[in-house]
Amino acid sequence: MAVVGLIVLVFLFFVASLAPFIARHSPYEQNLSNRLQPPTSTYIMGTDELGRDIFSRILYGGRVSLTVGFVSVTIALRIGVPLGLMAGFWGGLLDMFIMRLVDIMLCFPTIFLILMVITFLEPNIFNVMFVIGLTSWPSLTRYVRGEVLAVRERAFVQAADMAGYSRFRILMIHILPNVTAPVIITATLGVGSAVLTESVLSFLGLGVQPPNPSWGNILALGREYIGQQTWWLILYPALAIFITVMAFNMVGEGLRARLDPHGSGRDR
Amino acid sequence: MSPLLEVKDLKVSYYRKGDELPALRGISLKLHKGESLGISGESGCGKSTLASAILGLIPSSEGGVKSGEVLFDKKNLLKLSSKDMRQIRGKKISLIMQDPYGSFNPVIKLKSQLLETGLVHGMESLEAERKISSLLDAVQLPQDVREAYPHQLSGGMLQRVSIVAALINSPEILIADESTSSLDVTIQKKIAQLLLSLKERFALSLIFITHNLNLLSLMADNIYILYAGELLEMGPSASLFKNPAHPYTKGLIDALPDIRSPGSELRPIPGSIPSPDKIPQGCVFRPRCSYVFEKCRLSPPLKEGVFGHFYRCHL
Ligand SMILES: Nc1ncnc2c1ncn2[C@@H]1O[C@H](COP(=O)(O)OP(=O)(O)O)[C@@H](O)[C@H]1O
Ligand SMILES: [Mg+2]
Repeated sequence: MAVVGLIVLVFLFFVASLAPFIARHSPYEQNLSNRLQPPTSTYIMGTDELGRDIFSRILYGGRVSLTVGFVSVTIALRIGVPLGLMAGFWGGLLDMFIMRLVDIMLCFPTIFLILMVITFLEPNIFNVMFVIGLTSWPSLTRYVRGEVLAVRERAFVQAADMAGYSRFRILMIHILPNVTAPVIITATLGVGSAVLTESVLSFLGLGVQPPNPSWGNILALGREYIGQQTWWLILYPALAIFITVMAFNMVGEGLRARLDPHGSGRDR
Repeated sequence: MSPLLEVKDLKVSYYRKGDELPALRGISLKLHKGESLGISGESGCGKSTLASAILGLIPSSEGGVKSGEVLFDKKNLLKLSSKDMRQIRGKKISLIMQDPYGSFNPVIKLKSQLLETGLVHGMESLEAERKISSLLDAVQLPQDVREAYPHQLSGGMLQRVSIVAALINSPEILIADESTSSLDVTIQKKIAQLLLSLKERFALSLIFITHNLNLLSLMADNIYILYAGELLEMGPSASLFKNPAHPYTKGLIDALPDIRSPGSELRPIPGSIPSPDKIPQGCVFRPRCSYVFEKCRLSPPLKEGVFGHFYRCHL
């Protein structure tokens, strides 16, 4: 399963990064005489209401989705991991403060928070990345903290204490390497969910703005033609989202089975 | 000659659910330069607590030192800042733990872990490399164990690696807390002898903690017998084995497997060591003692019998 997911991901990266060489039509090029064409050999996924090639738009939309996924997870990692390390390692008031913040963030329905923020800011790809990143760190912080608490009790940490290692050195040498596995797992799953969130936002018109393509806004265009036998407007972008999110989840779960058989990275 | 390390009337308690559990109730000891000091007593008597307290490592969330002093190099270690204390741990006083597999990070090569222990105390990496290689020779390990991960070595070999780690910074005092107890009997003896030879070679002073009195008869110049956080007897090894003054020490020695007639019946002391929340009034050993009499209701003072041989008993 994980291998299948991985192959799919590699393929997606490949295709997304080589989009200009693969696409035979510009994703922006309109051709009104050719609108709403079903898939043919020149337009293998058909055309949309403005006669643009859906295949090209999906390729370019994939770049957007993957970029949003990775950038927002990177932001979440930059915030979530240090906070989790600090909370778990230093404990005390700092821990209490950080964990209260995490609790508040977690019980707040994230999608509404994102919607609120995006409606105040301008809806564009950068804001989408930031908002997804800024709202998805709390679960990471929680995993990392739990992992730190577990590692901290292990005898080799005490041994390092007895050998006169400083707290910071212990953190960097002994604790950090031992939390990388759950972090990688969570991050992989996080990319999948960020891709999904981006699609939802773009679908709602709060993410990537047309004419820039994104899977969500391609899908949104198709919505207006539901019931008119223009199935290609819906099927292909939906499949792209589905396959991508599935692939990240499969790889994430596969990594979990390999790196973390005790399930310590599991949602708690 | 003043002692290298002196513990004075040390009291340590743990806290659990608001209860105070006295784990050490006034322990004093002196370690002289070049001495090999043995600490023994049944499990739970406070041996590891004593070692942790000397190194300033009683976790403040679990307990703390109530009173007393730990004097080393004219300084009270209990008064040092945590930064200064780190200059002592692993540099002046090193400790070897019981479980060699636990004391190394399983995912890091031994070489890096050994090197790091030198680097944290300001060694140059070249100097540390050289020291590691000479110490590996000293503990009779092949040089290529550096490239191994902890689980690739046997317990005995890995315990030798922990000895290397403990000696990298040329400490003055080496504390071995049950460092052989998880190993085979034959390997236990080998490691113990190795520690003795290293002590001579590197002019170490040794605190050897074990519940195995047999080993101490080989290892220790002086032996301290702890019971329920109290010192019950202390004296030169030969004198303590030949003329144990406290019924507890007698009991421990009688309970040892007889080397000359293997298979003979063991005679353990009946009963078990009281936990810190149920310390008896008067003599702590009274409930298990077969010599108990009226006076034992009062706490006996530490008396000197033969010169340098102390015991805490009314007999
Ligand atoms: N962290 C702790 N919290 C509470 N009680 C403890 C803790 N560590 C040790 N104790 C108690 O203190 C006593 C002495 O323990 P220890 O020093 O480990 O004994 P030993 O090393 O001689 O077996 C025991 O009764 C033990 O249960
Ligand atoms: Mg112990």
